[in-house]
Amino acid sequence: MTIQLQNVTKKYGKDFALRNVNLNFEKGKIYGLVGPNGSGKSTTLKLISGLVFPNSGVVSLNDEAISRKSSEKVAYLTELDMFYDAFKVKDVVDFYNSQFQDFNYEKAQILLKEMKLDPNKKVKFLSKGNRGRLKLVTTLSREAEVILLDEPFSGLDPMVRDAIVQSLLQYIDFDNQILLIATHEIAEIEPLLDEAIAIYYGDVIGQEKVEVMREELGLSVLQWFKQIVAKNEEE
Amino acid sequence: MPTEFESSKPIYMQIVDRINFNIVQGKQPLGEKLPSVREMAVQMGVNPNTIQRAYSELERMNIVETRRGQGTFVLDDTKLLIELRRSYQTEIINTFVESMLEIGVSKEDMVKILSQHLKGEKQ
Amino acid sequence: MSPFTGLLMRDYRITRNSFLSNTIVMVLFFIFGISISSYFGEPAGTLPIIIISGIMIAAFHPISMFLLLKTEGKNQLWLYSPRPSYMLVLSKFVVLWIYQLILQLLFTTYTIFCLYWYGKGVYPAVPVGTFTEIMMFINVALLLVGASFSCWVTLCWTVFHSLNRYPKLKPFRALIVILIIVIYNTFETLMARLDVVKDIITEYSIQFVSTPSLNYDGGGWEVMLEFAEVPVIPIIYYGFMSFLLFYISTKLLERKVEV
Repeated sequence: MTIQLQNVTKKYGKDFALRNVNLNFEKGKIYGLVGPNGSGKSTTLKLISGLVFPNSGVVSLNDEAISRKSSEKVAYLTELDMFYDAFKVKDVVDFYNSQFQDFNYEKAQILLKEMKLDPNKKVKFLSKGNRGRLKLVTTLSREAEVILLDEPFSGLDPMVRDAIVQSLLQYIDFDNQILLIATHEIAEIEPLLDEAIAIYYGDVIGQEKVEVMREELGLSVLQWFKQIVAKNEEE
Repeated sequence: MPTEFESSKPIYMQIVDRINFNIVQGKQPLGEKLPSVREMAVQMGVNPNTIQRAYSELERMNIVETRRGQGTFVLDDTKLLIELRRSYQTEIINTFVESMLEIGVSKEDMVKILSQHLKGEKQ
Repeated sequence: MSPFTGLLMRDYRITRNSFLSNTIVMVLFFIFGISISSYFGEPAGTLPIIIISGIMIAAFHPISMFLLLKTEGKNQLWLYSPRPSYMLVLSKFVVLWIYQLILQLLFTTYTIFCLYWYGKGVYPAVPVGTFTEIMMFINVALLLVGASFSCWVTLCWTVFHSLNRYPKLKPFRALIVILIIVIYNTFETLMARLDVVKDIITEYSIQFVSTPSLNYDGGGWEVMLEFAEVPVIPIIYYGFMSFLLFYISTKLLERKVEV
């Protein structure tokens, strides 16, 4: 199973969100899309989940062009607050359960318990941290081929982050899933990653295995990222 | 609790070190099973592939063995413990000696200071 | 729960409260009608209430549709779904139809109450059979009219959001939507003036009571019913148009509206 972006360009008017991007993602790996805010990370994830369409180039999952229907196989966690206020926590879970065939209801119940979310509480009254947790429950409960997380840690305190990292590790199916995490908080996710992809204002400026960075270059992901940004700006 | 890692050394090597250290300290008894890759990954907050690599490295170093369908076990070999302990001792002494030399303490003084220190501790 | 039921439940949950307040307003309005008519001793005063609430019901579907789409438009993640887009829209139509039916049930009850009990003296004594026929017709007509306006609302919404992709056009989005409506209506009016079209329109028709009116006969107000011709061809045309608008909307949703 693979995700491919071939010569993908996405423009918003004259502004390039992505410029002629080529990327490959394989199953069994955790990828980190790193870069500052507004650099094209979210756009990349939205292209893979079929929420936006490229101006040119092809985005494909298992050699099939991505469409709205691809959301069947792609679990996407948005950076936005995506809930209906009238919903209770359990309504959200029920809704996802009805919409996505790969949704594992039992897993969702376990996750709710682990994340200490009260099923009867209205989403409207959840704290920001708990809304973040609920988003994660809906995403991780799916046994989808692809899991996309857009800024899963933003606005969450370190305790919540640790809890999220742990449930991530506990509940993803490593042999069969592709996990893509987009974040500007590079240091936080470094131990999770197999590979890092640096996106800088619409361009992919680097892609490297994390262990190679450390072993051969003696750099952490953050150091590596800073170095290639500097190199990029010199050119 | 997810663990903090040094930034320049490969994470899998840091995990290898940590496991070895646990063996020397006795926290990880000889002959017993290591946590599964997934458990270890969750414990440390690290990518399972990295844990897998650390386990392979430990196997290559003849510290653990993988038993088909059962998991990864620390070898039940007292020699291993002695060797690991020795290598830690060497490493610690090396750093100690180097640092002492750096601040201008001679080797003779070092011995004196150390034995005085140890005596002091016993009192 | 099947996917479609899931969608229905979602649309029901996010509209439940506004529907409840709508219903309360309507019931209060009915009570107001009776009270004021009683106060002036003119039972015929309930007729305007019936007519106004009929219009309100026709407007209910499209207005609710607009509000519902506006809610979804905030994050547009309703489009993150493996369901085909017609199903996403259809579930909203169905939920609003059910609400509308409930409102119409109240409306029908109120009309029965006025005709056969409260306003017995001023309303014409329509036989129950005819009355049932009339009310059936009005109810079905309200459902269809409401939905056909909703199709327009949906189209306008999807066109509006499709234009997001074109930053040059983005500032004029609302203008473009209005322009589409104006152009279409002008076209429709011009077409209707053509003799050929006029002939076709009046070709087939069914007779129906459609225009009640108030009449003063010296002693007090009375309600009169007139019979009118209802042309069939335009109904078919509007049905087809609504379907077309719905279809275009779903295609735009699927391919052009981005999140």
